[in-house]
Parts: sequence; C-alpha cells; structure tokens
Amino acid sequence: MTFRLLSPLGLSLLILASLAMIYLLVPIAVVVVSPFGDTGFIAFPPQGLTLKWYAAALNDGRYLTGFLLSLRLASIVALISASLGMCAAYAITRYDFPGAKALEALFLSPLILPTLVMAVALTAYFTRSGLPTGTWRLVAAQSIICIPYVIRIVLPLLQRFDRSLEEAALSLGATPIRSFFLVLVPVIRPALIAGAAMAFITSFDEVVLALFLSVPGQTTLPVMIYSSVQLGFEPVVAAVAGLLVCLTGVVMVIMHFFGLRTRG
Amino acid sequence: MEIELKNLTKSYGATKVVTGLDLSLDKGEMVALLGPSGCGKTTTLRMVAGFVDVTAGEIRLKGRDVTHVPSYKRDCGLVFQNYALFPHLSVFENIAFGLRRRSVRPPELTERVTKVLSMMQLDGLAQRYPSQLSGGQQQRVAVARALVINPAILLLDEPFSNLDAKLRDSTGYELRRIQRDLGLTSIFVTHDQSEAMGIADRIAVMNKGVIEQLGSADEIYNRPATRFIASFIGKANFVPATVISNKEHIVELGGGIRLQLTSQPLPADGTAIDVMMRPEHLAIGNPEDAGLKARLEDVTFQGSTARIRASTETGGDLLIEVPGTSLPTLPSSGSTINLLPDPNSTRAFTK
Repeated sequence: MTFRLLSPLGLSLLILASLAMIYLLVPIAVVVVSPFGDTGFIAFPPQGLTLKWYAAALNDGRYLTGFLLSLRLASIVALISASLGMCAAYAITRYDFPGAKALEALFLSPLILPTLVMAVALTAYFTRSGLPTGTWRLVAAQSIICIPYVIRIVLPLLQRFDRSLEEAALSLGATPIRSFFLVLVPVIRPALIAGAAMAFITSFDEVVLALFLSVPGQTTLPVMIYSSVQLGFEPVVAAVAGLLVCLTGVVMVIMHFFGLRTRG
Repeated sequence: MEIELKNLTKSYGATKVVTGLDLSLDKGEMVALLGPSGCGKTTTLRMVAGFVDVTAGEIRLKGRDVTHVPSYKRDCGLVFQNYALFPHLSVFENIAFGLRRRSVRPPELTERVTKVLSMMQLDGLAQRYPSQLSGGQQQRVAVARALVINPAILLLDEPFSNLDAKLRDSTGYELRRIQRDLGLTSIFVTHDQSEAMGIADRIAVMNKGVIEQLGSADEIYNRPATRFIASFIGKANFVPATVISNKEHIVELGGGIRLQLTSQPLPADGTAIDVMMRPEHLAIGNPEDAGLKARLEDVTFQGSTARIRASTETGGDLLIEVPGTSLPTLPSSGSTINLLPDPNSTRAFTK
C-alpha cells in the first residue's frame, strides 16, 4: 500500500509518525544535551556551554570500573544464556519427554515472576546455601532471566529448521555433534546472535538483581547510576548516560555496516 | 550383491509401514521404488540410509551388515527431494563437505570438487550460494555433493519432483548416464511411473508396505502380477468374464465372446474373473466380427493417439487407444462399435 504524502491521509500519518518519534527520542536527546549546560543541576535547555561534566564522567574511575564490570558481566551472561538457551530449545524441539510442552509454554509466556521477588529469593537461597560468594552469583541470577529471551528467539527457528540438512550432513560422514556445529548452528546463527544480544542488553541494564547480589566493591554501572541519582541528580550522571547513548549509537552504526557486508 | 535387504520390517507401534521386504541389487544396477504415497517406499530408503531404525530384518551393503551402523558410517550418497543444500556454504563448500569429513585435503580436495563440478556442468558456479542457483542447478549440486565422496551406493528420494517437466526428462537421462558411467548401484524413490520406467533397470512396485512386483518396465506393464499393479501402472480396463476351460485357457466375456489366454494359468472352470486389457490392446473391428459390443461415447485426440471412451451393454466403461492417424476413420459418437481384445496382452485376475 502506498500513500501519497500530500493527500490528507498521508499528511495526517506523517504528522502522527513524527509526533511519535519526537515522543520517543526527545528524552534521549535531553540526556545527551543537558550535561553541556554550565549549571550544577540538570537544566533543559542547557544554560551556558561546558565540557566539564562529560570530562568529570570520563575521569571518574568509579564509573569506568562499573562500566567495565557491567560489560564483562553482560558478555558472560550473554554467552551462558545463548549456550543454555540453545540447548534447551534444541531439547524441546527434538526430544519427546514428559513436560516438553509445558516447558515450551513456560518459556514462551511472558515472564510473570517480578525480578524483585526473584532477587529476594535468590539472596535468601545463596546466603543459606553457604555457596562461595562472588560475582558468579550475579552471573547465575541474571542468566536465569536472560535464558528465556534466547529460547523465545531460537525456538521458532529451530522448529522451522529443515531436518534434512542434518541428515545430509550425516550421510556425508559428519557425526551428529559435527553436523550440529557445522550445519545447525550456522544456519540459525542470526537467531543465536539476536538472542545473545537481548541477553547482553538485559544484563547490562539490570539493576534489581545487581543491587541485591553484587559483591561489595564490585558495583555495576546501572547500580552506580542508580545510587548517584538517589544522592542527588548531578549533571555527571546525565553525562554518563549521555556517553552510553553515544556508545550505543556507534555500536549500532558499526553493526549496520557489518550486517550489510556479511549479507549475500 | 551390492545391496541386500532381507525381511526388512518397520513398524510404529501396531502400524506396520514396511513388512518383510526383500530386495537385492547387483553392482551398477538402478532400482526404482515406485508406489503411491504411504506405501513405505520412502521409509525403506530412509532405513537404507540409516535415518530410520529397523524393527526387524537386515541391511547389507557390499556384504557388510549395516543394519545398526549409524548413517555417518554407512557411506551412502543421498540426494534429497528438496536437495537439502547447506544454505550457509558456497557450492564449492557444499560439495567439499563430505570430503572434509573424510580428511581429504587440498590439492586433492580442490581437484575432486572441480572434477565433479565439471561433470555436473556446474563450472563457474563454485562460489555461488544455493539461494543464487536455479532449481535445476541446485539439483545438480545435490547430485554432485553425493557423488564426490564415491559412495558405496547412491540413494535418491524423488530427485526430480521439484523440476519442471522438460528439465525432468533431460536431468533424468543425464543422471542415468553418469550413474552408468560410474557403475554406481542406486535406489531411487518415486511416485511417477514414467520416471521409474524411463530410468530404472528394475522397478519394485510397492503397496501397503510390501513389494507387489519386482521386474523390468516391460514386465510390470505387460505382465502385472496383481490387480493393484495393473491399475497403478498405466491404464487398464477390467471386463468381467467366466473361466470356461482352465486346461485350454479359455474364458468367456459377456455376450458370448471367448478368448484364449495362453500367457497365464487360470482358476477352476466356472470361476468368475476379471480380464484386464490395456487401452491400446483393444482394436475396433468390423460390425460382423464377434467382439465386445459397446457404444462410443466420445473421442479425445491426443496427438500420437486418440482416446475413445465407450460403454458396454453391461454398463462398464472402456477406454480404448488407437493411433492418432486413424482419427478420420473413427465412427461417430453414439454408434455401436465392435471391440476385439488382443488375447496375448490380456491378463486375468480373480475377483
């Protein structure tokens, strides 16, 4: 269906779409722009022009440490979630075991349990269990909430996967494990990457579990930002957020070009 | 014996899909498993390939018992109905896949892939991806991928069903030539009888999980062993008759016409039977001859033949095929014609 831009319908759609975009994007723009202001509080539009808040954000070692920790954490969680989620989705599609349907329904339904409840439960569990402390607790906890994302993305692709591709690999002399890694994984790779990316973002952004389970002195970036905001909304915090927005933009641009190159 | 299937049986619970199937292939032979859908032909092929567990019986490839050998150790080249080309690999890598699993390295690898590429007329397509190929090219890549590993046997599952009619003929012929040149023992599954008749040395016609007849195209068409085969292969008219003398092979059709069927034993005298006649084995005789009287309903001209539909006095429909050149001499619709069956090409089946 095509609309002529200047017809009444086309014009109203254009206005509607523009308003929606403004509604969605302006808060982000505010975060990026306001730290340029020379006031000691967040003001929009910014008054005066300074780079000191951005400089302060970059120079504050705590933010950088938090950022690196979050990055490491999110990478590990993404890796674990992608691997386990893939295995679970494979088991659900390939094996006929009691409860397979129930498991599928569970993973495909929206996550009902509030993260807060899980955070409390896990904190209680970890303290009672006497398991060693460490960042691995947070990794395990975040993986629990990230795995369903991977399953939700990978499962439909696995269900549509043409089994004769695996049979072809077997007939050509590949063992089942080899045909899994040489044929199945590459074919569903886009879904795996998307699932891992979802897991990465979820972990990178996660506050509640991190708040409950992180080790003292090992504070993730979201928790850091959260605490800073509670103490007083300084422009430095906005600058950190602004930097994250810019970084995300750069990553998106890189991925866009990377995506274009690998296609076809 | 290159391939031996002994008493091969597959059942899912109480449902038997293949029952006590025996089949042996000589070196270089091509056998078609032909049958309607659900007859067990694909299950049989998948058992030979090792994708389906055998319930009972034995599979031997080149004398080796492979009944319980996993498929990746069986050395079967397979061509799938949908080709099953690896979408993430180039044509070259698709074909090299089996060689790499056998630890064949360049330069031998490159050499063998290049050789099979040119044999399948795929030169210049090595770097393409499957999605960039036409259906016919994809089919040739699928065959090339199966051939390059020098398999003990070649298995083909409806390899031509996704090609258009014109390409099907030439591809079938080409495949047959390569299979003969390489001396490959081969089983292929099809539901298309003309494909089976055109390509295979022998045809195993399957129905309800058993081979009803195994023989050359001539045998299954002209000497069908069962009523199912008579009606499944080609077209057949069944005319009710009675055995007059089984000693002298004489049967009587309705209307007092007697035929001598020399080609096969008949049941006891007086038994009611059906006599099968192919449409081209019915000739239109003169009105005064002793023949089957029928009313000519209509004529369809097919080019090399003309097809006549007629109804007998007892209400049965008959299909008659005469050379297309005789079209101008045919009687008009509604007139009574006199049909003379060829006794040598007529088969009797018990009711």
